[in-house]
Parts: sequence; C-alpha cells; structure tokens
Amino acid sequence: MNNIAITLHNFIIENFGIDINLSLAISYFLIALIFWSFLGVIGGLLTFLERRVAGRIQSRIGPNRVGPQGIFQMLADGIKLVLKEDLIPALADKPLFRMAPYLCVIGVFSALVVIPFSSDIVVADLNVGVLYALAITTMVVMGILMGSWASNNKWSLLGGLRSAAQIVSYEIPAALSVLSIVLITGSLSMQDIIRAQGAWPHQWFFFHNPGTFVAFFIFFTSALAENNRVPFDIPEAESELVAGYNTEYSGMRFSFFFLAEFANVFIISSLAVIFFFGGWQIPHFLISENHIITNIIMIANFLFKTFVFIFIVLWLRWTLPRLRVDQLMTMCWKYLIPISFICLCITASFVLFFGGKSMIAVFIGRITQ
Amino acid sequence: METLHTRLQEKFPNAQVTFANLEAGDHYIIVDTAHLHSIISYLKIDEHYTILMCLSGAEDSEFLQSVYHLFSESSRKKVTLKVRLPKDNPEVETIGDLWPGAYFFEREAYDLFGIIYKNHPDLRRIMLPEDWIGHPLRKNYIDPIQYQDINNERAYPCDVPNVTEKK
Amino acid sequence: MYELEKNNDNTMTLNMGPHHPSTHGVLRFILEMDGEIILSVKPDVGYLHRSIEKIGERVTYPAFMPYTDRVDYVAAANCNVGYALAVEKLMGIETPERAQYLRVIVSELNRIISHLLMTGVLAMDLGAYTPFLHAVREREKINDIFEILCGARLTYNLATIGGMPFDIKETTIRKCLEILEGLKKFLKEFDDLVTNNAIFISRLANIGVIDKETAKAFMLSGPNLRAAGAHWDLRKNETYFLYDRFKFDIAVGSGKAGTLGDSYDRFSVRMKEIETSISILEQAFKSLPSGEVQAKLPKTLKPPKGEVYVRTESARGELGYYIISDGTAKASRIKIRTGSFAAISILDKIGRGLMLSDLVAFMASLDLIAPEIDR
Repeated sequence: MNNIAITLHNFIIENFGIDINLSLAISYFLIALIFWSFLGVIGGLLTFLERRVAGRIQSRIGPNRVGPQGIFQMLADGIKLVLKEDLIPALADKPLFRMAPYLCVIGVFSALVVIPFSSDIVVADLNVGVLYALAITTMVVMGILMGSWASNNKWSLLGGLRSAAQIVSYEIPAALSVLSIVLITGSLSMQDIIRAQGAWPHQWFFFHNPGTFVAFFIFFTSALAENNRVPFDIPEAESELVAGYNTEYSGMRFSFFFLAEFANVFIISSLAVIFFFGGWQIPHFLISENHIITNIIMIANFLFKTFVFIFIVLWLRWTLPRLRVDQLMTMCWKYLIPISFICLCITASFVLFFGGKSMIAVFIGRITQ
Repeated sequence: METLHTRLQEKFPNAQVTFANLEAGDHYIIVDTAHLHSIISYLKIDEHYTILMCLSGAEDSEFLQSVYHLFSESSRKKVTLKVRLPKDNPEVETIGDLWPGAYFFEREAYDLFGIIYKNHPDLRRIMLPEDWIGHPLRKNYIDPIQYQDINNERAYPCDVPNVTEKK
Repeated sequence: MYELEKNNDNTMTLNMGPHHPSTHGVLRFILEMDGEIILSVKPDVGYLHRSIEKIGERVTYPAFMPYTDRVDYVAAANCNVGYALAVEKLMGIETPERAQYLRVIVSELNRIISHLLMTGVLAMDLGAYTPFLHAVREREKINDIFEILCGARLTYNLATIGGMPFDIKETTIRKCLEILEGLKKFLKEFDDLVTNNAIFISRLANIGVIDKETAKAFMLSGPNLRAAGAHWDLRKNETYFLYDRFKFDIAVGSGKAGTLGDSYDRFSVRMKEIETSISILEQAFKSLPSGEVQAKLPKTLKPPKGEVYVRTESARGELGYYIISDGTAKASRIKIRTGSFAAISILDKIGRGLMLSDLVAFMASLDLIAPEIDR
C-alpha cells in the first residue's frame, strides 16, 4: 500500500532512530498538518479566484490591489476576519454555536485523506475510500444544522432546515451514480478506481458507457447541491434568508463556514476527476525513471483537471438564478434518483455482457474482428 | 359633469349634491356624508366609473375633506367627489368594500388628517408611528418639540457662522 | 397554490425587514408562516416617510420641484415633469413644443433606467447576481446622458414650470442614439442570460397571479396592470405632452410562460417597455422641433383658486398630483398618488399561500420602491 505517512515513518526511524510509536505519531501529525494547510491555502485561493472570475463575468475587474494581480487579497481578508470581533448572540446556545463551524471544517477537510494526488501521494488509500469520502462530507450538515439552531434566529433556522433536507436528499443520487463506477472496478479504493482508467479520454469512465456518461452529470449536480452552491444555494439564499444559516456568525467563525464551502468545491471537483476523468493518470511516454518528476507531472495533471471543474462551478455560480425549495426536492426525488438507478442498471448490464470493457473498446473490438 | 350632477340629484333626492365650479382646474361635486357610499357604488355599478384613481384627504377653511377621483374606462370621463366633514368629528363610510385598494389610501388619510373611516377593518396609522400625537397635514398642527427621546430643538439655533460679519 | 391549513399552534411570526436584503429600501413585512409557506403578510410602511406633502404646503410652487425628485428617486425625471404638468394645467400655461419633446425624451430615458434596474434587481432577488451588474452598467451610460443634460445623475430636478431649464445639443443626441444602439444589443444578451433561462422562468411563472379585475380593484396601474392583460397606458389612452405624435404599441402581458398576470408577465412587460421607449426616443430625436424651451411666466407664480388632479405614466404606474390652490404662492394641498403605494396593498391578498422565496420574487416583480410608498 502506498502510504506517504508510512514512508515518512520509515524515513524517520532510519535517520533518527527514535521510538516507533513516537515516530508514527510525528509522521501522521506532520502529514495532517501539511494536507490541512494545503486545503486551507486552496480554500483561500478559491475565494480569491471566485472574486476574480466573478469580476470578469460581471464586466468588472475584481480585487487587484493587494500584491500582484491581487493574489494576497485572501491574506488581507483572512487577517481582517481574524481581527474582527467574534459576536455571539446573547440568547444563542453558546457551546453549540462555537462548535458548529469546526464541525463543518472537519467534515470537509477529512475528506482530503482519501484524495490521491498521484500514484504515491495519498494520505491513506483506504479500501473503503469512496464510502468514507461520501460519508464524511455529510458531516457538514450537522455543522450547519447545529449552527442554525444554536443561533436562535428564525432566518438561520429556516436555512438550516433547508440545508438538512437538501444535503441528505442529494446524498442518494450522488452515491448511486458513484456506485456505477464501483460496479465497473469492483473496488471502493480511490487508487484502484484511478488505475482502472487511463490517461486518454477514451479510457476515462466518463466515456465508459452511456450509463456512466449520464451518471457524471448526476454526480456533479448532486455534489453541487450537497455543497450549497448556486443554483442550489437555498440554505444561505441571501435575498431570501438574509444569510441563511450563517446570519449570526461573524469574524473567524464565519470565515470557517466559508473555508469549508470553498474546500468542498475543491473536494467535489477532485472527486469528479477521480471517478470520471482518470484522476492523476498520465500517458506512458511521460512516465520517467525519476520517481519524483513522474509524481510532479501526475499532481500537475490532477490539479489542472480539478481546476477546470472548479472554474465550471464558479461559472455556474455567477450565471444561474437559484431554485426554489420544492423545485429542488422535486428535481432530486423525481428526476435524479430514478435516472441514476437507470444509469446503474445500464452499467450493470455493460459489466455483465461485455465483461467490464468500455463502450469504445467493445466497438473497436467489433471492427477489428 | 353637470349632467352627471343632475342625474345624481334625481337619483338621490334626499342627498345634498352640490356642483362646485372654481376659477381653474377640475370641477367637483360635493356630496352628503351620509349618502357617499351609496352614491359611489351607484357611480361604480350603474355609471361604470370602475376605476378609483385616487383617494385623498384635504382641508379647507372649516371642513376636512375626503376626496375621491373616479374614472370611467368606457366613457373616458373623470369625476371628483368630495365630502365635507366637521373637524371635531370627521367620520365617513369606507369605500374599501368597492375597491379593496382604497383601504390603504384611507389609512393614509386617517393618519395624516384624522379622518375616521367607518367599517374599515384595519384603521391604524400607516406613515407615522402608532404613538404619534396629532395629524400632521391639518392646518392647525404644531410641529412637536420632542418625540420619545428625540429632541427636535437645536442646542444652538444660530450655529451657522455669520457670513456678513466676517466681511 | 398550496393547501392552507391554519393551525395557530404551529405558525411562526417572521419579521421581514426593515433591513432585509430584498425589501428594496426600508420596508417591513410581518409574515405569519407555516414552515416555508406564508399564511399572511402585513406590510408595515412609513420608515421612509419624509413628509413631502407637508413640505409642499410650505414652499412655493417652483421650489417644490426638487422635492418631487425624492418621491421616486429611480424615476425622478418622471416625477419632475408630472409635477410641472400639473401646475401648468392649474395655471393654464402653454408649454413650448420643444420643451414638451424634451420632456418626452427625459421621461422615456428615465423609464429605461428604471426598468433596467427593476429587471436587474428581480434577477438578483432570484439569486443571479450577474444580470444586475450588467443592467446597472447600461444604466450608467444613460445616467451619463442625464449628467450632460442637467448635471445630476440620480435626482435631476430637470423641469421648470412652463418648460425645461436646458436645451439638448446635437452632439448629445448623437451620443444618445449610440447608447440606444448598444442597449438594443444588450437586451438580446439579457434575453439569453435571463429571460429565456429555464430556472428563471420556473421561478416566476404562475407565481403571484393577479387577474385584471383584482388589479383594478386594488388600484394597480402601469406595468403591473398591463401585465394583467389590460390595454391601458396613459401615454396612449390619455395623451399628455405630445405622446400622440409617436407610434408605439402598449406592452401587454401575454401569459406565455404560465398564467396571464403572473410574475413573469410583469417582468416581460417591462422588458417590452424598454424596447417601446427606445423606439419613442428614436422618433423623438428624428422629429425634434426647434424653438424656445421655456414659456414666459410672471416672476411669482400664483395659480388661481382651484384644484387639479393630473396623472402621468411613471415607470411604476400612475403618478398623480392632486394640487389644491387657494390663490396664494403656496399650495394648500399637494397629494402625490404613486404606483407603489397602491401595489403594496395587494401583497396580503396574493402573498397568502406563497412560499418565502416566491414572496421575494413576487415583490420584486411588482417593482416596489420604498420612498415612493412612504413619500
């Protein structure tokens, strides 16, 4: 199993010769620190990126004063938010109110554990990676519900209720569409799923069969909805619910909710890339003898694909109006879930009749016969 | 409008319906307070004055007035009706049952003039706070010095520097 | 649209406003809710009451002109020319032809501005922020024209009694025509982005349906009345200024997305009116007569004893000035009848049974402007 924490652990033992348990703890702590700060930076970067993209879309410039092209705007924002007064309403349920943003952040950041950046770099390649990622991101709903209830504000409460209904509902089509992938690979491990695909588009699961083709769109839609992004941002709908579940939050706690949201954008984009677009897979001629260079190319490839999807998410955010609550639920239960079932059946029959070969492979096989 | 006036006089012999012709602008008909509602509903149903353009309060020297501007879509004619109400007891029937939109206009007239519309379901102040004293658009209204804790008087009324002295 | 079961134990009173993002100014609604569904709406207005009518009794007739700007600051020019027209009618002043043309031009430019803002804000209330900024970008260009004409961008104070205080130059006309060409292109873009967007249509269609009879009973006017299917436009049916010289169609609701008189109709009527205004403007620029822009008037204006009710078609419906003169230089009473004030009373009737999100859309489609309600 490729596990960088274990690699680091072995490295520490060989070079420093300290106690095994201590070295394990140190190595896991270091890895956690690196990856969490990585996601923190990604989250911050996305806030900046979102504002720039929004600016371009809305025919204005966006932040461009702090640093070159305004890249340090995120630091300025972060400092401002940290220095702001942390208001807690007098009648709020204080322990719950304080805890809620951290739950959100933990739920999202923990999902990073199973995201493989290259063939070697992954914190833990769990054999139930898919299940873990889908389950742990749902923890966000607890944070949102907790925050909205503890705020003791009716607008927050409405936002929290909307959010709970939405996230729990959209979990189902997301899981069902990922199940198609699991059917093909027969494994819940992220690395196995990526290895079953190739570097070129015809090897991606996106083009594997009609079932997976549709399943991708369902997965992406549901993931957007789970993340409360426009057009599914009804829990915080600023023109209806003032600010939804984070109406009463300010300062650092408020920014934690936002960090969680932007980190989640990264997570869902990377999951889409892993499941449907070949993850870190690179063509054979790019694999060199040097392990480090190969890994860097893989990471670059993975991040490039991910940022394409992040851009699509931002693009949608600044183009579409939001749906109404009942329309959102109708879409999930009446359309997405039945269609994802059908996709699952199509994929299952493909696996059954063609032994897991992709549409294109079968087609080419027919021609060459 | 004069023909309408004679028709109204025939239709409502008990009511006092007078035609007023001023130097300039629109003419209007002053009707009896007691018969206002029946006259307006007659105008709406039989004369097809289906549109209520405006409802306003007003004040002349002795009386408060409630003014109704009606408009007929079919004949493209306008008519202005007025009722004169004594200042100490300004009461008139509401016409909100004919045009529900009039309820808000009546609330405004109540708020600013103190005209009481009978049978109005929700006759509260609309522009001013509930605890405001007086009806500001009346001619004898004196601006309050204080409302709750907010003082209207300036500490130094002549705070503006005297420009002429500097020369 | 939704089944209503009034159960007093399970309702929630929600205080929407006075500073809620989508109440367009300072408006407050006290909502009684069953979950997300609204059981009753109680509008509470008056937060922006500036006693403009009382001020009108204390200043002279020409001095009241700047105050009319503040009645409806989004369509200030319409308020200005409406007031000028009312006083002129009271005094029997003949306004020069060129001034009347100029008034048509400014009120149509102002109508475009107001409708652009309304459509943008409607999109923003539905969650799409981009169309708003695009609409405001176009609005700024027309504001530039106003700045050239009268020096102000929002509250213009651009009419005098008996005429206009400025004249329009040939260069301004050319610039104006250029902007109108650009606006036509923008409208096509806006249609692609907003008007034909499936989510947008599904959020507005069949929401807040007002039929013709209800609209008349609640004294609705202007675009809101036309969206209900009534062929009624004061510019055409009760010609003032020189609107009878221009060819234009009345934009009427069609019910193409759902029911006649729904929120989408109110939106599309305004979109059509922008096009109508553009065509009126082009005709006006083509046939602009030469001559004076200000009638000769005595130094102090003292209208004779009398009263007048003059209504014009503002961007938000019928704008009526009811002026009673007692023969002095100050009015005895100035009543301003505005479209938004009439529209606010219909919220409770139509708002019952809508969801909270629908109420926001419905309110935006009525194009309520708080200062116009409170005056």
